[in-house]
Amino acid sequence: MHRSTDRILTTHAGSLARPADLLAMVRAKEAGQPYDHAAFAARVHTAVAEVVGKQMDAGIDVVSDGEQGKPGFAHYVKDRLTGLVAREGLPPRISSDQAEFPDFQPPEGGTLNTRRMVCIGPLGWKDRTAVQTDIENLQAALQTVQPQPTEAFLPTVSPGTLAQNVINEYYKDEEAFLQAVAEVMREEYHAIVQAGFLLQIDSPDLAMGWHTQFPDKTLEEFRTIMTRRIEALNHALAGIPPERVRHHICWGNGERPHHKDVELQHIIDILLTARVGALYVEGANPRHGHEWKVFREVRLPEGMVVIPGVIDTKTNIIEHPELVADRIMNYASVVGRENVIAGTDCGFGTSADRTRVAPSISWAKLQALAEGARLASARLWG
Amino acid sequence: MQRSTHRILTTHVGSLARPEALMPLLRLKERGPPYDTEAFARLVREAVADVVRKQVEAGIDIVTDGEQGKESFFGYINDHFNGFALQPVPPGQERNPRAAGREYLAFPDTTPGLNASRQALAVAVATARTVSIPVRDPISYKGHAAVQADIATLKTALCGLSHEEVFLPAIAPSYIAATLPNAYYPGFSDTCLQQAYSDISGQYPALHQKSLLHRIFRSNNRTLWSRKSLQKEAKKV
Repeated sequence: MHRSTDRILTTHAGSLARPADLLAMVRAKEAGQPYDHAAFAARVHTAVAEVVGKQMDAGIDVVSDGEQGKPGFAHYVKDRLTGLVAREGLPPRISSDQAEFPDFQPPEGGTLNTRRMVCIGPLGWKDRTAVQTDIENLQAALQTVQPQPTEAFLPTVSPGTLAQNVINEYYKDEEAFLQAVAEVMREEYHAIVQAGFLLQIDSPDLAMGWHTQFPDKTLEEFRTIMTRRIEALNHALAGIPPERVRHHICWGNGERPHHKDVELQHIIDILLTARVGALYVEGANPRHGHEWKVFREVRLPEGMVVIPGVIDTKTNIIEHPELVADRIMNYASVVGRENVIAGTDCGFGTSADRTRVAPSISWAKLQALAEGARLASARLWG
Repeated sequence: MQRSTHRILTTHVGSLARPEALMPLLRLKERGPPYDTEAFARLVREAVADVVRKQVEAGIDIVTDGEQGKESFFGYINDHFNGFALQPVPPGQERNPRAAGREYLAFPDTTPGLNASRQALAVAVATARTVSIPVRDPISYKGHAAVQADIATLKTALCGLSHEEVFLPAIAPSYIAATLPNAYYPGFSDTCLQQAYSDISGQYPALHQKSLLHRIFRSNNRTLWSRKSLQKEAKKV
């Protein structure tokens, strides 16, 4: 993993808005309607090339495929694994931060991933080619840009997040489910690393699980659950050099109260036990913008960098580059400039059809990220 | 004005959400009489009492009436000043004029990207904008009773509640001059603005006399408020 040795590198959380024509095909695919498989594959291929080019134009150093072919950052696994079905009609999980504000209507706009994934049988692979397609699309896209980006990554979902998002009706308990899903997902993780890409593990469950899945648990109980999930992740990552892995943690990408979010200071010690080279946490939004100070008291494991979110992905307001630079400076002041890579809080297309930030604005925010990193680099390196 | 001599004092800009029960009457009021003025006054008193108490409970030091009786932070001028008239919005201009602002033009996919609640709000705003308020006659102040009612309502609401200071928001002349179409004054000159300023500022001494801080909105970025006019106003107050 490249580090910010002579300037602050920039990246983002992985997902980006899908083009309208591709989104229409994704909708048809998810609805079980007939669709042209060849046309879908071809459009994903070109869409990945387009978003890679746009990331380069925006000034992003470490780029991704934008998850163009996926319906959502986690839901895609139902198309790849045996034992999972998407079930209609199950009540959505109500986040605990909503309960005391009855006049708050959470922003809607996404229906692709409202069906709950249910585990009804042994987990295994039914489509090993899907991740290879992801890899080949990104490889092909990279050949279309000059100069080359500093690095490229592919995002994938963690065992713990699948434990959060999948209703387990087959395995005896969460621990057994975690073991099974870790054993399966490790193949995807290894495939991405072997292809030469950075692997990004998406683990929102390790933060948002507190106020969404486990609102009745004590902090210690939640920390125990976190520990178990990171053990499963570490098992799945066995054999992969930590410096090839970035670990994304977030409190949920919705514009909502977030006042029940577990504080970073209460979970940071457990997060640092993941065998990864980068801890990627939200750091821009109004609920977590102060938590750079947590790193004053934290000693990062040898070789680990922090990727803080310095761009809020829950609002259409475009950050001023000076503010972005200030945020970067805060992190650099506590962990050192070479240990900071500037990122966005979360994705701009967490679910394919839920673009809370207008796509055109998301690109402008990435430009603000790059400009803020340039300002911070000038201050840090002179 | 109290200062933060031993701790940081807290305040806010002024407007706070209106209760749902008040909204239908506020919309009727904006369109002009007739509407149930007694019911409106009672609901405003209740709403101001409620938001003042909530500000104190929230820990706000310098509190206000939350503009509960106003449909917006400057739309109330039709009630307080002569010279403005309600007029149907010309066909094709029903949309909030800010939709034509440069930031929206720069990002044409912004509106479709809005979430459902924001879209609902946008529709509500568009519905409320069935009228605009052009300057039609000489501007003069007629809001003496209305501002006294605002003051009385706020003072009643404050009874028995702990607070450091109180303020009432009022619109700045420059914002009105920059926002509303001018069909009376010849041209957009300093003279007309000075005239408008001196007339509109009739509301400010009333607020001062009642020992209420008043905060003046200046939302536009034009330098319309000269040092000279400030000195003039200071002498008058």
